[in-house]
Amino acid sequence: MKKYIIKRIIYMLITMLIITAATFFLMHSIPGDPLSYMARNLPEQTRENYYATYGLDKPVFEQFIIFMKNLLTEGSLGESLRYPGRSITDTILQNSRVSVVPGGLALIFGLIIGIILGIIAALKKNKWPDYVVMFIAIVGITVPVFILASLFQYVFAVRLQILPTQGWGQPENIILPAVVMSFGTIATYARYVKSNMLDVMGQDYILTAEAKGVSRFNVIKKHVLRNAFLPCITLLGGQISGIFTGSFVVEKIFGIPGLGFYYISSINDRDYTMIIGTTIFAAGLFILAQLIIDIAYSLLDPRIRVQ
Amino acid sequence: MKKKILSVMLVGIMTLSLAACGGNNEESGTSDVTVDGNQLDAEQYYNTYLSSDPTTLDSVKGNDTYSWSILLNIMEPLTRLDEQDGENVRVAAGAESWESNDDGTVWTFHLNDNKWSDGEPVTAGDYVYGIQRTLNPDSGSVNSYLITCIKNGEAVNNGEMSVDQLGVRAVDDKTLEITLEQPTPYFLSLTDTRAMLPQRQDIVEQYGDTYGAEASNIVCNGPFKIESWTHNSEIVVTKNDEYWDADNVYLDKVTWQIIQEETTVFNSFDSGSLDTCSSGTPEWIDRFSEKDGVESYEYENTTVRYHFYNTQDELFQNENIRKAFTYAIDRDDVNSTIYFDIHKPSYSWVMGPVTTGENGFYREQVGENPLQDIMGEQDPKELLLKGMEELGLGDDPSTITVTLSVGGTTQWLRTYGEYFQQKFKDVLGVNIELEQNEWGTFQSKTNSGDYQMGYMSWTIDYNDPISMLEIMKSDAGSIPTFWQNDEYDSLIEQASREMDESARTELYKQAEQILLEECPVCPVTNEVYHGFVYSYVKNVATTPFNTMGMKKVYTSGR
Repeated sequence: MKKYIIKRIIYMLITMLIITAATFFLMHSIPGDPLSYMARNLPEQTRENYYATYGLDKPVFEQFIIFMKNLLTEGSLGESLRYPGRSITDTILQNSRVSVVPGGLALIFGLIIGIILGIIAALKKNKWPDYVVMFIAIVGITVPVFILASLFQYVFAVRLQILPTQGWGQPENIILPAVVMSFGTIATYARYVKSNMLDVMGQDYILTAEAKGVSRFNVIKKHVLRNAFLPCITLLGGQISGIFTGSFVVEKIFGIPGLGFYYISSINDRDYTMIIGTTIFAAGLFILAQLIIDIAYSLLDPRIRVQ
Repeated sequence: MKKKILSVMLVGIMTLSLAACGGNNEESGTSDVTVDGNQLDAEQYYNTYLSSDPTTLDSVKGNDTYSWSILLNIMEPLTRLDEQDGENVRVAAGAESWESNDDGTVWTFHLNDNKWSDGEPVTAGDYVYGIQRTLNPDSGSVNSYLITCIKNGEAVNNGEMSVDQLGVRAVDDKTLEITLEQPTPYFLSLTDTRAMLPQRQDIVEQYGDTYGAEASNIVCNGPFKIESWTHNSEIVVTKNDEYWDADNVYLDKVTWQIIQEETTVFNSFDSGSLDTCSSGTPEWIDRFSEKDGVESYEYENTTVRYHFYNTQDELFQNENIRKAFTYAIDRDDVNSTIYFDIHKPSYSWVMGPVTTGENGFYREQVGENPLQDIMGEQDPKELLLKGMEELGLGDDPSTITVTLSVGGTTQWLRTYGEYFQQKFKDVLGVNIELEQNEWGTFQSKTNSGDYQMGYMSWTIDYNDPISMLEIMKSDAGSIPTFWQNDEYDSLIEQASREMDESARTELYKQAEQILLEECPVCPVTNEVYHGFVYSYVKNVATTPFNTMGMKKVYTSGR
């Protein structure tokens, strides 16, 4: 086990290095530069001074070496080009801390409701509760989140005026975004749990258990649910890392100062340091989450053993 | 008994009237201060918004309108542009008075007794430092080009001279002297740009690169001082009691919420959590124009939306072809079909609100719609055929395919492109292909000359026609048309140092005429600003060049 984890961590580091290098050279190969946001051409001298100040006049490979040196020796991701004076590391830490609040709540809320709905749908297959749950699931997956967000904002903030339209800092600011974000999770898990349960309920060992005379409640509780939940853990990995990186659309609509914004804006702005910083953060979280999930699997499922 | 009732009533009335006279009356929420006959609300606050987080409050770095909105309120430029009856008037701000020598090369500013928010006096040295730092190449300032007219400005900015050799000096603590390279008639228009804002050397050096990146890393000397800044969320400023003109600042607190989503802005304004909003969407403009208790105002903005041609392209090198594509556009139809009449057709390069010194609006002096006069009744199709003949391309327009490049991948831009595809086909008979790239790619391709015809907008830098005209000089490189015209260059060169305003205006007029006749650029639309405020908000700016910020704003009857 220990050897396995060490091996995985080494692989992780290699993956990170490849991702970092690939992102670095790719982003420098997109046309445009950090002055693009000004949406106009500056006079030559002004541009040159700007490039020199931020080291953009150097060849890309040299810039990469400087970047890696700063990262490895000082642990520094540098300063944003779009927002002078703001450290990338601080920006990521501060903003992901914000993103995690509505995102985390949405995930917990979505998981609970989603699993309950999934169980109901599986047990009442092809009856009305199943249809209702699957309708909710389809709506949750197909209706774009910005529509849901705008709708909720209009109903609860403009019409009913019981919640603020947008903002951050007050507990009531979290409610709408968390609810909106949880829809996707509810839908995903309801469908996933349902199909897994049906799958498990068709297995021979369930038939065996029933034949032994185990009560239906105990069959579901001990045999079906445990086995049906296991595959859900795979999904969970990506979602847990996702709550730190935030949701661009929901954060934008509800004015949440989270990290989601930077994933899109940094690319549009050619904010190179921000692009690479946020990429490293997201990739690192994702890989780490996968590792934890894999370890969790081996602990939870005796059928899986790590080598 | 009667007497008793009467006296009770009298006491009652007196109590009521006393209450009404009271200074800060809690119940009615008004104060005893009146401005222009309006009784001020006891609580003076204002909630507004920015659609993006300011990049930095270091005036030397960054150049976004968002940080400028804040800087105008927390920093004191030498002068400000106020408005009276719709016209701009330059008023005292950091400087109480100013004068120049006879040929306009040396300007002296006598500073007001202003203080920084930490209690230190504002000195001429602070202005010197701010200007030097803008031009210092090490700062990498994107605003340096604005003030290279200062003596040795260019040499300092390209590193040939040290900042000490710049033509800016503090004669004493309250007197600032600026020497220019040559007479620069529009120089005063630069005094309220961010390139010339004061900065405190000790504070800038204390915080280094992080100066202005956080609310705590800056000192203020404007009407307001910064209280808090939660990135991407909100900025709060409060009245700066150290400010020289604090008696005439009414708001105690201004909050800018940072809201990127337009619909959220409208919903917030609708629900009253914002006191103001502006819109470029017809549906919302209609809705808020009819909303009770809301006042709407509009003014022509200083942004022109235009097409530009690659004059090195084998087709657009021909002047008649450029004319054909310029004249083929029905600008009224563009305005109604694409913009639902919320903007204004444009027939000039310099937009309406631009003035020349004391002579008032430039357009009123030289003619509102010069392009319309140039176009006259000429048939664009004939011009196209003439151009094709000159280029030896035969006489069948349907053999010609032109690419229209736009910077953005939005649906709106697609619709814009499709409109022109249809119109150019109808009027000229040519085929148009639309090329949509996101902005960085678009900019990179157009700059390298890899395009034929493009669409962009340009917002003027400062209030003088030259700010629009000099970007078309041969060596400016601002808009990649690669157009060169010696006569145009020399007219702009002359105008840039002509101190006589009428003579200067005449030079501008001639230059603009050449530009519109040769058509490297094709103005299509002038943006119109549509603003909304609740009617309790008074004194908001209604001219585009206004640089008063929130200094004069107050609420009455909230």
